[in-house]
Amino acid sequence: MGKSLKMSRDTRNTGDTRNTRDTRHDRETRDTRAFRIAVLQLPGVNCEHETVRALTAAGLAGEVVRWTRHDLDDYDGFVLPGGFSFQDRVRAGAVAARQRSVEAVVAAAHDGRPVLGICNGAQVLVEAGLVPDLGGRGRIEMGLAPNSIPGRRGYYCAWTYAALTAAGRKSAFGLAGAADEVMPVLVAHGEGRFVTRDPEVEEAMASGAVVAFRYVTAEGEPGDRFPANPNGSFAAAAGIVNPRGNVLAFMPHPERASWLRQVGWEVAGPWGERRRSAWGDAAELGGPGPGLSLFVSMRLYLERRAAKS
Amino acid sequence: MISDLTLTVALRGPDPTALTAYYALTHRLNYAEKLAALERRDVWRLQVEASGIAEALALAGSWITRSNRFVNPNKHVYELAAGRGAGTGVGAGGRGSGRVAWVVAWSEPDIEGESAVRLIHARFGGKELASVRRAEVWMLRFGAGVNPVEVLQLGGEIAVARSRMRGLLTNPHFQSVAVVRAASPAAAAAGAWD
Repeated sequence: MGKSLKMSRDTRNTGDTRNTRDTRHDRETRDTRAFRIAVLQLPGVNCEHETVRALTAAGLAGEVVRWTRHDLDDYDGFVLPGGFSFQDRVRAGAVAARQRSVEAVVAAAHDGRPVLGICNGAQVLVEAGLVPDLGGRGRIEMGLAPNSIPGRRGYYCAWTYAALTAAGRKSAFGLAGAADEVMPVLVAHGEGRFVTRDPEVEEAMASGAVVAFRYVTAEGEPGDRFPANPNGSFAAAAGIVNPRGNVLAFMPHPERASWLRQVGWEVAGPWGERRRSAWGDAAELGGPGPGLSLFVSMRLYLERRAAKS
Repeated sequence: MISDLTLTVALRGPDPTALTAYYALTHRLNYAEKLAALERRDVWRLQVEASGIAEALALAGSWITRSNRFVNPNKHVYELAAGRGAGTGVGAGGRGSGRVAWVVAWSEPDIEGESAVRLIHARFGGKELASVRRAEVWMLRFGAGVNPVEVLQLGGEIAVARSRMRGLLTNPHFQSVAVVRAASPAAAAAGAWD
């Protein structure tokens, strides 16, 4: 206990750039031949290891990398995981977006490599101007405002349902998703309401051009209102993608629904039925969950990209 | 009659949000040569239906101390004053300096204000609390090398996040902002709202 605490302190003081936070599980399961995905560990995030495991399950080599590193140019893609980077000070994602390590994420986005921001990661991508980035100049074109929920305020955590849109299917994150599938997925945030005061972006959101995932009801009907739309997002947007399709800001947590065992008992629809009928069957419960398709899509996208080049 | 009250709230100790913002501005956004100090206060405007100012202050004081909604007594100090823009600012710096800009930021719709009204009505009964508005007020004090006539322009640059490396304190897609000169955080909020 004392030793590990000391190691942690030493690492912080010396600016050590090793992947000291990788767990043994992360290291032992990493496929060294697979595409390397950096999972950026900004101070205050808390989903990095679940994200690495989901990437591993999808056939990618996820690595937790600390935000103090500046040698991140060689990674094939990035995931910015969920949590509370910089304790959400000033505004969720605002301080994180201005860190030097995010420059590598910006370079990857411009280079066509896949970049996925989950929850707090989505807030960072919005504050970094990487989504939707219609102008292509990194202008901040939208915000993730505090949830607007009738009769309550603040943090909200619940199972919701998201559906892939036409824009999502063309992106790097919809290649493995079924067109008509309703994906049960957890949301857990206080600031998840996609909004914009830019008329051009508003039009792009309303038309669906930049909305990769929408909140829907369990039956797949449009989720315009709470609780289907859990935060009041404009156009029921759950995920915003850039025009090129390689950067996605996704407010729900796909890494928390990457195995069938993670699907909530109360979830409706085919995924919920599958989860309940798998009760007691460890092999079945260890099978893929609805969120895994995002990570598998990243791999498929990278494979296609590699084949082209 | 409706009485306007102004509540100014500050942290008892160092403000980590202000420190982090200051660090980001000076180390990442190139304001190290210009920005000397940054402070932050919460300013609430409460409209209270009461027979007079004294009763309005007594009611509001009771809500503040008993609800835990506006103030956490373990970590905050506060000042409740009668009138729009009233109050000295709970120790806020910047008085008498020509190089201070106040950035007043608020959200529309004001979810914090609306929820405070609902909570007070639900917990204490009655409808004396007519409305609440909340603003986050930042005090930006610039260094001696900055020309006082540039202060509001620099405050505006810092106040509104336009891109990753331009601006920080507010997101223009859901927050409104005003950059003003004022004598206190409360006066700055009043200057922005009225």
